[in-house]
Parts: sequence; C-alpha cells; structure tokens
Amino acid sequence: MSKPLLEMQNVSVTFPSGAGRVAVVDEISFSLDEGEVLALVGESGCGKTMAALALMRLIPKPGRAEKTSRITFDGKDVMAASVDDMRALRGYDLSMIFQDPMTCLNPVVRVGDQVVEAIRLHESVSYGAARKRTIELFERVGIPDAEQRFSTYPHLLSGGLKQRVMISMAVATKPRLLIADEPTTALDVTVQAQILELLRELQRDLGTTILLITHDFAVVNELADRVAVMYAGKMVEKGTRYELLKMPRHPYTEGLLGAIPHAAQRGHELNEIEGVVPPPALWPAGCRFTNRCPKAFEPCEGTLPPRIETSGTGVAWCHALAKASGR
Amino acid sequence: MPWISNIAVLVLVALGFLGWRTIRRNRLWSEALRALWRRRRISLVIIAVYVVIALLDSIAWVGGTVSGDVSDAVAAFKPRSIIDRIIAPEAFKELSYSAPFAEAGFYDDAPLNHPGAHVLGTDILGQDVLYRALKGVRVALLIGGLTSLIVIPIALAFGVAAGYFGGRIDDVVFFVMSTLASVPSLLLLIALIMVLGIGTVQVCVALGVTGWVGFCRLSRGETLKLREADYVQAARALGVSHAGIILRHILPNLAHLIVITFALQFTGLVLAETILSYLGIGLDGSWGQMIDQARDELSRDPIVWWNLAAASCALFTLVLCVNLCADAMRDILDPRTRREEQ
Amino acid sequence: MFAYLVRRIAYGFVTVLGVLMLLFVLFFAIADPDDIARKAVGERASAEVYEQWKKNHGYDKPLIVNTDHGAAEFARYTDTLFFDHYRRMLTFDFGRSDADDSPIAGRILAGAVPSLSLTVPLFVIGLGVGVFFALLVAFFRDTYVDRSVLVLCMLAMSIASLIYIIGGQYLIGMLLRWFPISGFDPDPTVAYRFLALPVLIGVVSGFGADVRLYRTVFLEETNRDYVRTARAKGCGDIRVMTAHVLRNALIPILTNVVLAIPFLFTGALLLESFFGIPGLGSLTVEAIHGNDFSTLRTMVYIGALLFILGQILTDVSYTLADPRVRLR
Ligand SMILES: Nc1ncnc2c1ncn2[C@@H]1O[C@H](COP(=O)(O)OP(=O)(O)O)[C@@H](O)[C@H]1O
Ligand SMILES: [Mg+2]
Repeated sequence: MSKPLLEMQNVSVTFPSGAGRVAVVDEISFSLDEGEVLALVGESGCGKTMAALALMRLIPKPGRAEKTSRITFDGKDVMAASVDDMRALRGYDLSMIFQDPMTCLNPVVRVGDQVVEAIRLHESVSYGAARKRTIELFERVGIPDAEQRFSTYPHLLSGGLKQRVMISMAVATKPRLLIADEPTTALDVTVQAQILELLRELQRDLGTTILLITHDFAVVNELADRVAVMYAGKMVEKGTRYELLKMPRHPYTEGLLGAIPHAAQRGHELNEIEGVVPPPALWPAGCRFTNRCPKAFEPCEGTLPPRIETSGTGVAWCHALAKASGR
Repeated sequence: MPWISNIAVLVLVALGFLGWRTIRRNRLWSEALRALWRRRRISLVIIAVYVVIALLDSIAWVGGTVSGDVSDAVAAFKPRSIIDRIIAPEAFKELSYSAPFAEAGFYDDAPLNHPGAHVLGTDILGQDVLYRALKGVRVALLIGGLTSLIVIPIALAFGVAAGYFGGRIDDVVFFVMSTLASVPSLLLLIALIMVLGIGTVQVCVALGVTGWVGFCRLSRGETLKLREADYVQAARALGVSHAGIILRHILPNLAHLIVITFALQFTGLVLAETILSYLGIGLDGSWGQMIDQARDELSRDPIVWWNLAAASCALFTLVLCVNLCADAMRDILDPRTRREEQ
Repeated sequence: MFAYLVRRIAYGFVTVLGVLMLLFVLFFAIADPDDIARKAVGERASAEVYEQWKKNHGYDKPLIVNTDHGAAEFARYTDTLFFDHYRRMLTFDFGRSDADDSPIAGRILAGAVPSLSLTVPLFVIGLGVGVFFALLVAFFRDTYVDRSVLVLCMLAMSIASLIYIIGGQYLIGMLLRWFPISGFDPDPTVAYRFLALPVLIGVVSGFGADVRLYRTVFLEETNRDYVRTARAKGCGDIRVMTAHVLRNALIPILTNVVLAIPFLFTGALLLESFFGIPGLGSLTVEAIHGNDFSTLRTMVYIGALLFILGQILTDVSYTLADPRVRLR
C-alpha cells in the first residue's frame, strides 16, 4: 500500500487559559489516503475546526499547535515547513471551505476577483485567462448567469450561491486535499442537499481527497468513506462509514447517532445526549465524556480510556468497552 | 461667594459616598472597580490626590490672620481656602524669578526671603510656582469634572428620550443635535464665550453646550438599539411603565458608556481649556493660563523653564491618568475586548 | 442616486437654517447689538457716530418685528435684524468687520490660501503617518512593538496641543534652528520653509489619537472571517493587510477623513497664530482679540457650511466605497 496523502499524528492545539495552556485538540491522529473522504465528526466546540486549522497552519493567535504534533502531507513535514512553503501549499494543494459563507467572503471585493486571486496567487496566468477559468468554474458549480455574477459583490448573493463561490475558489487549482468545514451547516435544508450533491460530484469527477468536518451523520452517510469521531479535543472512535453508522461502539457515537432524526430511526426512541460540550477549561482529566456518558463508571473519571480495537478496522477509546471485552 | 464652593464640596462628598455605596452593592460594578484597581493602581491614587487637593482648595472661609504685605482689611473680606492657609502665599513670595531650590534670585542674584524653600521656583511676580500649580488642580477638575457631571445627565435625558420615544421628540432632539454638531466645536466654543463673556460659569456653560452633543448622540443610538431588545419588548408586553423600563432596562445598560464618556469628556475639556487660555478667554488660575504666560519665558536668556514645566507636568499627569483609567475601564466593561483577552 | 442626493442636500440646507438660527440667538439676541456698537465706537463717541456705526454695520434694525411698519406690511417682518441676518448670510454678503471696517469676504478669501497651504499637507501627511503606523501596529499586534506604540500613543494623547507647539517651536526653531520660527510667504519655493515646522508639529500632535483610532479599525478587520479565507487561499501577510484588510478598513477611515476636509479651510487656529501664518485661523484669533463679532459670526457660519458640505460628501463617498450600502 502506498503512503497516505495526509498523516496527522498526536496533533495538539493549545490556548492559554488562566494558569497554563489548555489543549482544545489533544493528541489526535488520523490519516487520509488519496481519493478518500474522511468525515471528522463531533458536536460544536469539540475542536474539529482547530484540528483542520492546525493542518493549514492557520490557528488564530494566541493558540498554537504543540511541537509534539506530526503532520505529513504528501511526504512534506507541514509542522516544519517554512512560511513561504506553507503559503505555496495553501490554496494550491491544500484548500479549505469554511462554515459560514456569509462572513467568509471579502465584502468589498467582487466575488469573481476573489476566485481570480486564488488562481493567480499560485499560477502565473493573465487576469483574462483566470477570469475565463473562474466563469467556467462558476458554471461548473452551478452558479446561474456566471458571467454577470462574476462582478457582483458577496452581499448580493444568497447563502447557497456564496457557498458555491467558496467551493469554486477552493477547487480552482484542483487541490490534492480539500477541507470542507461544515460546508452546509449555515444553509437552508434544501440548499444543504444541493451543496452536498455538488461536493459529491466534484469528488467523483476530480478525485479530490476530502476531509469533511460535520456534526451531521446524514452528511456522513452521503459522502464519507471513513469516519473519525471527536469529543472535547480527543479522538473517541474511528472506523469505516459502515462500521460507525451500523455498529457504533463508543457511547458518544451512539448518542450522536441517536440524536439525528433519521428516517431509519423513526419509531426508535430519540435518545439525544443531554447537555452540551463544556468549555475546554472544564474538561475532565480522564475520559472527557464521563459526565455526560450513560455508561460511565468509576475508572472513567480519573484515567484516560484505553484504545480498543473494535470490529475490522475500527478503534475506540472507552473504559466501558474495555470492561465489556474483558480487558 | 465661598459658600457656593463649600456647599459644592459637601454635595460632591455626599454624592461620592452614595455612589460608593451603590457600587459596593452592585456585583458587576464592584467587580469592575476591583479590576480597575488591580490594573491602574497608580493612576487611581494620583487621581485621588488631585481630587483631595481640589476639595481642600474649595473649602474656604473668611478670617484668620494673614501675614505678609496684605492689609488686615483685605484679609478680612477675602475668603481663603485650606491650601491658601497652609502655604500662605502672601508671605511665601519673592521679588521675581528664582529657580527651584535656589538660594538667590535668578537674574539679580539678590538674596531670597525663603532661600531653598521654593521647590518649583517662583514666577516673574515672585509667586511660588508649586502654589500656583496646586491652585490649578481645582480649576482643572472644575472644568473637566463639574462640567461633565452637569452635562452628562442632561445629554442622557435628551438622548434617551429621543431614542426611546422616537417621533416628534426624536425629530427635535436630532435636529438640535445635528445643528450644534455642524459647527466646528472650537469655533462654537469661542463664539459662546465671546457672547456670554469671560468667567468661570460662562466658560463652563460654553464647554457644556459644545460637549453634550456627542454623548447625546451616543445614548440616543444605544437606546434605539436597546428599545428593540427582546427583554425590553417583553417588559413592555408585560405592561411595565415607560419610566420603569427606562430605569430598569435602559439606563443600567448605558452605564458603561456613561463612565467611559465621562473620562474622555474630562480629558477633552481640560485640554480644550488650554487653547482657550492661549486665546485669552480661559479660566483664571488654570494651568492653561500658566502655560500661556510661560511661553515667552523660553526666549529669555538664560531660559526660565520651571513655570512651563510645572504647569505642563501637572496637566499631563492628570490627563494621562484619566486616559489610562478610561482605557482600562473600556477593556473591563466591553464584552468584545473581554472575549479577545481570554 | 439623484433622488438621494437631492434629499440629502435638502436636509443639509435645513441644517444650515438651524445654524443660522443658532447664530442669530447668540450674536443678536444674547449679545446685544447696542453693546457691540458701544464697544466699537468707544464710550465717549457722540450719539451720531454711534448711530452711523450701527447703520453701517447693519445693527440698526429691531430684532424680529419692526413696528415702524404697519401690521399688514411685509416689511414689518422683513425689515429686521432676523431677516437681514438670514438674507445676507445665505447670499454670502458678509458685510464689514466690526473691528476695522474692512470687508469680511475679502479677508476670508485672502486667508483661504495660507490656511490651505498649511492644512492640506498637514492633513495628507498626518493621514499617511497615522495609517502607516496603525497598519504596522496591527501587523505586529500583541507583540512588544504593538504595546510600546500603544503606550507612546497614550502619552502623546495626554499632552496639550499648546505644549506641542511651544515645545516644538523652542526645540526645532530656536535650539536646532532648522526652520524659521514664524512667518509666511505666498511663493511656494519659500513657503515650504515656513510651513515645515507647523506641519511637523501638527502631525506629531495628532499622532496618538489617530494611530489608536486606526489601529482599532484595523484590528477589528483582521479578526474577520474573510481574512482567514484569504490566508487559506495562500495570501501572504503583507497581501492580506494591503489587499484585504486595508481595503475594508479604508471605508470607516475614509468617512472619518472626508468629514475632516472642511476643517482644512477653517485652518489650524493655534498653529497659524503661533507661526504667524495669515490664514483663517489667525483671522479668527484676531477677531477674538478685537471683539470683532461680525467676523467671528462669519467664520462660524463658514465652518458650519463646510462641515455640512463635508457630511454630504461623506455620505456620498460612503455609498461609493462600500458596495453593501444601498441607497434608501
Ligand atoms: N480564539 C480562541 N481562544 C480560545 N479558545 C478558543 C478559540 N477558538 C476556539 N477556541 C476553543 O477551541 C475549542 C474548539 O473549537 P472549534 O475547533 O471551533 O470547535 P468545532 O469546530 O468542533 O465546533 C472550543 O471549545 C473553543 O472554546
Ligand atoms: Mg467549527
């Protein structure tokens, strides 16, 4: 088997808080093969965005990725890359779509020019050529009247159209890896489906590798090959889509799956997880899920949960699972 | 009229005491105050010293013995403040310039009445410069503090009324505001003082008229926003009276604006007075006047610098401390910067 | 756009009428024309001279109602100080100075050039320096560069402008003798020598407040999401600042700046009078010292007029600079 396109090992992101620094992303690891779609799942505030930004090396100050983190993208050591190398990588081989298209486009620059900028930062093409490519891209991602839309300003576009602009900006240079951070969360339900459809088409046509961040298992079900579940900065379960959706092992994954009003689950009792993710400073020392977990017992609070190989390729980190499997 | 000033001191001390008690009872404000104390201890102490000096200089009465060359008859009619009585400027003076701590006159080398005692030297008339600088404290606080204390409630009343009730009231207030705001403030200030005449009350009134607009506009805008807030709408739906809503929901939410504006207005006014002093329409005994009188002394040979230095340092220290406190207060009270800091 | 402009100008005109009302109240109702005349001709002047002076300077009519005319006559209300005041100000007929009888309009025109030659460079350089340092500070935010510039600004803001001028004149003009201490010459090849010092002092005295203001604007913009998008695209730090942040931050800065343009004409009062530049600021200072109410009145009026014009310009430039603003 060839080397994976992306490898994240023991990636930690910390922010200063009170006395010391707290890790909002705590030693998570995962890898992505070429052409694969990995879904990173977890509730709001679990550190998904920070994990992705660590990969982009765009963590906002005063946060930072810890020295112990190892990130290898396409054979390159991202943590050690120079500022210029990173700049060449970002937006070229490594693109990102953000959660809120409303605020992520520059309000005083014409949308077409924002895509042109993305192209011209990395390829030495004339403005005219870049413009032509942008319009083609707009047509490709389903923006009607692409020619006119090129020179409108973001505030005149609907949320769905803005997200399409974001997507065309992200795929303009045919990136090796596309990070889609909750690309549909801020949109209306009907628009969500269209954007998902578009992402799937693009993935199929371009063969782009996608790191899909979401808290919605319906989205996972649509797109993902493999799934990684995060809770409060820690990885709690990994596996293929099939394994995770059909046989969730970690209580948190079970809870998340129970929380979506999915057609298949109609009639089942909706056992939504109570409460919300606490702020990072209040995360427990042992298993972070302890105080919301229905299966929590004595060792959960104090000690880190062990790594348990579940079926096939799946792994989970859970005391209760360890006890059930007799270890 | 010493009694006005004495009563003012009494009222201010009483107000200060009441304010202190209110703050102590309110958790949010006492916390903010404690945070301010933690971050700006030195500034607060310096401001407190200035305030105490100003208060001491405001308590005045007639009588007592006056030494020096002032006749007893004049002394019997002229009220003198505590500061006056401590320093006794009538006796504590020289004939002309003398440098700080000097043993002899600056230009004539004549022996001094009080050799080595004038910490900041003496001015052209032989008055002690430290004494003059101390006298300036009261004038500065009068300009900045008292004017703001009187103007801000008025501006608040108009601003809140306009924002809350809207309609005609808003139209009128807004028109008056935009009219006053269209006149460049220094020109308006000058025009007002020229028309009203030169004097403490007149200058304060002029400063007040030009100063209220900014705050009125601010409170109007903020009230407009608050009026639409959910909890205000809910209170109104529950039948809470207008007065109740304004007192309980609007004013408390404007409080942080009031505090910060007060501080900024204060420094603005004190600085503006120096310009007025230069134009010859400022207040008697202000630092601005001292600076204005001292400006020619720089071209003397050898130069006389202590007059200018004393007045500018006194002014600079006060303004800097208030600015620093205002800045810290804004950080403490503004939820946005608070988030940034975490 | 056209309808908006018309409405905006109409409101501006109403404000001008309001300002004239304010001036009337101040200079005719509160300041008694009789007093002004008495002061101007002196206590011992004859009644004749006194009346003649009042007539020459247009102070000889009743305030709002002229009872010399019948109740039905129009002139009962038009032949008054109130009406005259409005008519003359609106037609730019400013009359004569109360102090020396010279025509005010001519003096204002003569003062505009020296004023502008001081304030325009002051304004342009001040803006450039302010934006540059603010950008620098925003770029190095949360480092010691940022903190030390902020402390410097705070110190600079707390110094009275009078002290800047006195200190600057003494230090640079008298001790170092780089530039002449005061004076003016209309010939630009000579004038710059006279203007350099006041411009320098003006820029330094405005530095603190400007940099702090612009820094806040820049920092607010650098925290926005579109900046992260730009970085994710591969923009470098400098490009992010110039192509994205600056462009957005210029909108609030621009509105601030356009609003300041009218003040260029009224001149920098202190600077002009200290450095002997015969501009409108000096004119105003002379008017104060000479109890010249009519000149003062005119200066206030012109200042307000320019300010209102500036506001209209600001609103228009705002709608042009920010695509999000749609005209109502
Ligand atoms: N600028 C910041 N300063 C301090 N803490 C932050 C900052 N940004 C994010 N965090 C913390 O990091 C955690 C993870 O945030 P994020 O990655 O955005 O979560 P997610 O994308 O999963 O919703 C959150 O709990 C949040 O409190
Ligand atoms: Mg997120």
